[in-house]
Amino acid sequence: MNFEFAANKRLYLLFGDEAGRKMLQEIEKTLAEKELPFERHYGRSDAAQWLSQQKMGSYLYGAGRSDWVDQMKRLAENAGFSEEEMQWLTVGAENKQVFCSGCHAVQRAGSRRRLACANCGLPLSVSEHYSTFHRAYLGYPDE
Amino acid sequence: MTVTAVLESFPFPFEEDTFRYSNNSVPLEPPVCIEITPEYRKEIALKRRLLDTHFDRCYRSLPHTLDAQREAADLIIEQFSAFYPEHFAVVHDGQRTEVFNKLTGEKEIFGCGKLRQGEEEPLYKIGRHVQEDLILMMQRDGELYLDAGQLCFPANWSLAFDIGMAFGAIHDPVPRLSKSRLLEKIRKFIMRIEPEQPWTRKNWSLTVDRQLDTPLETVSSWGRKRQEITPENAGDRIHLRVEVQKLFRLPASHSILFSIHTHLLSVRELAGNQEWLRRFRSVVEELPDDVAAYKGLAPFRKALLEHLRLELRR
Repeated sequence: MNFEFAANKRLYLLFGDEAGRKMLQEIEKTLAEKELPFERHYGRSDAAQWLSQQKMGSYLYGAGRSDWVDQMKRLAENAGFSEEEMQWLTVGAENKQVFCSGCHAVQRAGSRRRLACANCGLPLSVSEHYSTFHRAYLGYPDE
Repeated sequence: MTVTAVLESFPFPFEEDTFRYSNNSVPLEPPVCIEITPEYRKEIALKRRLLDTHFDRCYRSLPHTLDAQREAADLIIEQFSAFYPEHFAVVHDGQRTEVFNKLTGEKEIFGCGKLRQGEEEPLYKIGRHVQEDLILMMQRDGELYLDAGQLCFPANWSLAFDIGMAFGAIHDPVPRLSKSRLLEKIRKFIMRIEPEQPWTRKNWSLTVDRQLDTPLETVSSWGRKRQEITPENAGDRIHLRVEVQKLFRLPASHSILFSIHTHLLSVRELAGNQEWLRRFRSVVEELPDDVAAYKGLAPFRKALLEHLRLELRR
């Protein structure tokens, strides 16, 4: 898995958590060779603010653990980045947290799209609906 | 109530023969966020039963909402006096407000001592006296957040999951609306609502049987009934469910009070107005599949249309 180079952007943003730094090295090298402007941002203490300050024409490369990517992608969307203005890579296996719509328990789903709730046994199907508050995806009853 | 009386007071939601999402808000006249209907006692009893047995499902609030909650409760109490003095007596005594509910024979006291979280919260207490579900949206950083709510009669969503969520994310599951320019327009519209000008809109879906409480938490039980619809039983069992939603700006906290009054009308009752029935059929027939699925009618659309065809031919 690697990032694709996106040409003709005003500024490239390299954005990762500790686990994602390594994955950004290659694209950083590419940008440096092409003498294109880029900025690094690791960690996430002020991520929302940093993302919202970016100007039009910025392009985002993000890499990190799955739950971090989930959250940061949402922040980037809120800051106005469209799907066409960013690329994301996930380190390690996908391991989504799922919120059981029956009993409200939050549990790890690993890479499963379907699971039985560990707390109440309800068969769940993992949706794309994400809560930054619970840091989890909604698990709908699997019909 | 006679069918005629029921139809006269029913907020029929369709202005045209087809339905698409739009910002269908209109200025609210008179500017009152609650409505007391003949179903008051029955619905309040149901609401309280749900609040007592499923508190975590029906009530959620974040700690920073207490002042806004108080403001919301004050607005509703003020409207009790202004619009429903025959049902509520309100006495102000300094910081303390006594509300006497003549419909239930209860006295409720607001504003004594420090606000505490839990069942003593203003939004929770006032919500026990109104048929509406009450949602508080806090506005900050150019965004609206669902930060408190009392929700007993949801149409297949979960307050517990949506608490703390931004306006756009809340609407993620709505087909053709999420991530659309329309949704962004609606969000901006709400953020510009002014204290003196509340708005109202209608939202609709179809549901089986006269059941107001259809939360996501229990969809595995009530959702199953959708499979039981036939052309013969559709008239009695299918209900048009209309939410009259009202949006008020609370000036001190700059939050939005969003009240939802849910009305149910069976297709049989709807047949008392042939023009409405014809329009309803046209909407159901023309609705795109993804919207039909979201509105809950995909499993029985065919049976319902067959029922309507026979009904309109008579």
